[in-house]
Amino acid sequence: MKGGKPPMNNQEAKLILCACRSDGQEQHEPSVREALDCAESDPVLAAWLAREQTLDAALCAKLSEIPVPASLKSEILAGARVIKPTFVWTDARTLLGAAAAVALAAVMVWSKDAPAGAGSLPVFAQASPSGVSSAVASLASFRNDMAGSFAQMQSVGFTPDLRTSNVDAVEDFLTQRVSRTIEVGEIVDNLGDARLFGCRMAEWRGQKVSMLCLNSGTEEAHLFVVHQSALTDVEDVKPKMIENCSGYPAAAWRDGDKAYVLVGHRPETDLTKFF
Amino acid sequence: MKDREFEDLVSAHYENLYRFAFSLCRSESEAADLTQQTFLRWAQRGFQLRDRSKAKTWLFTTLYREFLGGQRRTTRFPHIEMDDAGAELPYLEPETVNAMDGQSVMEALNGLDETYRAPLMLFYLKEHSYTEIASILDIPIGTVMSRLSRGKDQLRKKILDSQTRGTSPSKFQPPENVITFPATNERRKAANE
Repeated sequence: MKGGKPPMNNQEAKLILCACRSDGQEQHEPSVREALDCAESDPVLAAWLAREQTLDAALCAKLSEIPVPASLKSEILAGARVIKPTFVWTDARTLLGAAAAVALAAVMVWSKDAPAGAGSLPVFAQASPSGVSSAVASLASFRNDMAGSFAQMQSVGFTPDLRTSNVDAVEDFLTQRVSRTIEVGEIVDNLGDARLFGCRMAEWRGQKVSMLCLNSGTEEAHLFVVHQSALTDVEDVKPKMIENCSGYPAAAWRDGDKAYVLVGHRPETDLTKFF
Repeated sequence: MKDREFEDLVSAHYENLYRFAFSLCRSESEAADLTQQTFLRWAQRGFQLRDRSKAKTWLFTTLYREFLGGQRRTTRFPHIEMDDAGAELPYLEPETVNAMDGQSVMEALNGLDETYRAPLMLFYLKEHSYTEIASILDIPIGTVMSRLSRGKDQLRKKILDSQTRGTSPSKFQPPENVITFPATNERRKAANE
């Protein structure tokens, strides 16, 4: 065998096929395809799969017989009527952003019309929390904002945009969306024993941010990567110092032309496993 | 979110959410509470979800987290590692399952540890792929596969044992530290009385 993965054995094929639904929805996935190919070429495995699927179908049918309380639907609908949507921070920030934009526009109009010598406008050294300005942003604010964004993602159920451990697939996915080359393999190699399992896109102050989903042993964390040009400060943040941001452990650092923020998947995630 | 849209969402998912909740809680009233609580979470926060095609996964994920949250507030179920040394899967005829009623199958499932119950129930509800199950339970795909494989093995053993004894699987007796949602349960009991 010349490089590449060794062929799938029966035990591996059984493990994969055991998790597949008989409707064939997962057949497009390479590992499932390979397992099905094994079953096609091995009559014993094929017979096992046929028995497995028949039994699964019987169990599915039985479990769908479990009665649901007749009043449950009306209870749910009645309960929801007395709930009012929470005014969440993202909405507040959007409104603040809009207000800041209006204020900024008003100041600019005023300065244009003001008589010469009225004095120069103050420089807005820090981007507004709403993200309206992308002029200046520190690594610390990148870290805090990304941890906040992740907390927000978690609150609605975080899922990667792409779930795969294939480095090339993730690299292609992100490079197409960020319009810059993201050396995913190199980045992951620099993170201890971290292994890639997916990715997602995020935005920060108008910048596209790549998000790599990683695990190391039982720990899981997410790495936000942005090009250095998004940060114009030279603020010294101690490399890989772990801080608690929005309830999650987070660390920020720079390397080459990129800035990174690593956020733990859970408040108790041990980020040192990734360093 | 419009009322109509919410009602459609409830209609589409409440039955399987309840069944999943029942497999976790092993109690009808707690499963109903957990299902209701999940939709209330949606009413409060679900509108933030931009991609509505992910609503189903959001609901199942939220229900599971609510369940785990309830566990944390009380005592955890003891985690029992199943012995996976048994190389040979017991053979269970589909006809045997067909001859059982849904309640008996559920009782057999309820006899398993939650580690196996949750992925098995999501699998048997036929709503989710294994990648979605991994996302809902927040575990790696490989773990989903091994839990499904071992869980199916354990479920077969339970059903075969019950058939050997000539009885349906023993009625589940909740452990002393079973989760309870006192406020809503009491309301429900009072309403029934």
